[in-house]
Amino acid sequence: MTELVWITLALPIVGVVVLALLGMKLPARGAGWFASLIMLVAFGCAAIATILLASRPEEERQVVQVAWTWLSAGNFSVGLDLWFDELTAVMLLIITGVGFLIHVYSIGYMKDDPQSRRFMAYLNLFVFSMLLLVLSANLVLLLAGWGLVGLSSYLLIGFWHNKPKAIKAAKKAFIMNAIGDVGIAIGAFLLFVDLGTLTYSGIFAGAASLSETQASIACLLLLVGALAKSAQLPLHTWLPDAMEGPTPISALIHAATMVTAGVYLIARFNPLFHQAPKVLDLIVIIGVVGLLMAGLIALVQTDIKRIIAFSTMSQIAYMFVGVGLMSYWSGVFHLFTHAFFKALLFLGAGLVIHALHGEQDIRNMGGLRKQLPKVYFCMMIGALALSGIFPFSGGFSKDAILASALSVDTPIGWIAYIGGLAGALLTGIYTFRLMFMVFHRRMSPYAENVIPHSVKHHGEGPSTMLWPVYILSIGAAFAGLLQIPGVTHVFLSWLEPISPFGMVEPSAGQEWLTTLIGTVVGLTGIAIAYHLYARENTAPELIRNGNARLIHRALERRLYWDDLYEWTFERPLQWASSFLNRDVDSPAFRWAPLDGLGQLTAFFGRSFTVIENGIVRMYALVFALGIGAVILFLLVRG
Amino acid sequence: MGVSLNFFLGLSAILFSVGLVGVLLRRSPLTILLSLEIMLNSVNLTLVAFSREVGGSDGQVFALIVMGIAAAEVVVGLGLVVAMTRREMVLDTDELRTLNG
Repeated sequence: MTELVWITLALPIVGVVVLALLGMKLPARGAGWFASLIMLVAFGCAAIATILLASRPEEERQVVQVAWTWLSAGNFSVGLDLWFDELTAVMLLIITGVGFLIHVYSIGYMKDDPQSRRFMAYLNLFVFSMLLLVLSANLVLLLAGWGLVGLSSYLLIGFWHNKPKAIKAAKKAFIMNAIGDVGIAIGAFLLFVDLGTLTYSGIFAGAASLSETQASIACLLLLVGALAKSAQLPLHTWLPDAMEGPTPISALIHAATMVTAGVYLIARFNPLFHQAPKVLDLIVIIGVVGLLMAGLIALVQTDIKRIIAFSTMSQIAYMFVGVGLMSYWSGVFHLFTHAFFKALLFLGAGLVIHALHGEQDIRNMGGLRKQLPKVYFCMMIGALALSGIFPFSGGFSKDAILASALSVDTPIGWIAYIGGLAGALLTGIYTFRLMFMVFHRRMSPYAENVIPHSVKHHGEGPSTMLWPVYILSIGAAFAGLLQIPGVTHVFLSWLEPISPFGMVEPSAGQEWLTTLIGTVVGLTGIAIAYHLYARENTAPELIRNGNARLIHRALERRLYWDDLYEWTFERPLQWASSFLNRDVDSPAFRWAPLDGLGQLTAFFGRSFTVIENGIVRMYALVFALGIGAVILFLLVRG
Repeated sequence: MGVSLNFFLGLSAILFSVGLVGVLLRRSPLTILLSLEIMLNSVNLTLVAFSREVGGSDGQVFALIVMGIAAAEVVVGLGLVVAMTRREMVLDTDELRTLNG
């Protein structure tokens, strides 16, 4: 079984090497299929490994394997350790499965790009990094994976490097994530000082011996990393900008896998977080505020991908609420279903953008359901799942989180419950605002111009782009059935062993009640969206006439987070450096004595050029004489 | 113990001096490389001689590494000589002094 896991990890890096060395010798399509095939094999290996893991008795499902010692200093050593258990298996299946579909989709999406081979190599690199992140069994290796996913995310956001906005977005993502990396690194140092080890097993075994303060500080630092990677408050501003990258990237990295790494981290370190209940409460609060804020901002965005990006932030905030409530299974369950329906929505959006020749503004769309019926149908499934409508997958998983909040029955639990339901209303509105604006109402003049031509020539899109969307639709529709309250509990019983302290498990009654309320709330949201957007975009009238204009403006500016960072960090730095340049540096070095110093240096420099005469034999002679002198000195002294 | 250590060391010193003089006096890059090889091999001889004296194999291993490095160095050096010949440059180190200060 472990061999299969190793193969899963090794395959993508083999793909990277092959594509990097032989990429130009392969035809572009061939390179794409090669990368996809690698992912398919990796998925097969991961699936078989998971089945083998499932066939073991429950106590033996946690496999730790050390390949070799990587670093060793004194009694400290870091190995290339691999940790394979139930949680890893879930992540492995998501990464390789959704990864495979998105690789195939990319073949169609990047068909006309001359650099599609580089794209495929980066994609494989990303998958390798992500697998390393979830498979590592110590913090050092985790940090390596953590950094590598950041790197591949940077490379892929900035893939179109002649687009200045994309480069700026890539830098922003990288810098924000660097803050998180530093958090995890310092957290690792602290844990090493406290416990003397960085392996998961050592940390989990020693967690109980930590005082609450020690555990809290370590958890807070890990949380900084999780917040940065998962685009949660207050380190979330990079995610919407990251949409400048190609759409498959948004689907794979910025929806399905990388941004959920924070949720994985918290679920993985649950024995440590268990010692820091205050940090867990903080995670819930951050989650609730984040999901409401992102939902509100998503209401007014006009770029189709940015709406989905804010929705991603909001859904990950739900996952944070889930893991923060110690209901790790529901957080990971939502991660699982979210991977399907959010990747589906992104890929669908990619098809729409493709059909409209790169247009991303939903105001320039409309009425596309007749031209793109298949895309419409699939995205509708995704939208219903996202809005949490029973019986689509998102309904089960989101309600599992909310039902856990209900069963916790503490003030925090109630905040999470009410906030989560309010968020569900927002989700219904913004999701169906998007659906109605894109697919219903009258077609915009732009779409009227472009779409008949595009549909005539390409249909709804190449089959490499359509099939992944179909398969994801099946997942988005039915993945929730793994966990029907009171009927099936595949996910819960599968993930239960990852937490030694148990998890919050709501009763079937609480779950059904939440499902009922959640569906009603979601449908209400859809109804509101229908009222406002289905025929005409009537919302602008309401805003122009009402008092909501200021709020609208604030939401459009994404609640001023970007401006806040610009005015607190960017501008002061610019002021300080231009002040130093203009008023300190330049005058000082034009000051006469210092100028004399400069001339003196130049004089000495020129004087010594005599010995640099370029004759190699002279150098050798001086060298030999020097060594001779040293030997002579040693002899005389000795 | 047939030959004593001192003979080896003496031979090595002679070889080293021959090489050094070659490096210092000759101007053709090819001959300089040859002289360098002689110097390296004199050091190898010392290493192996000491290794035989002490009885361990460390010195022999080290000598092997020196040979490997020397081979790599000659590859680069000869490559340079060939490249210079192709460009019809003068093969005289005293003339090749574009790097003077």
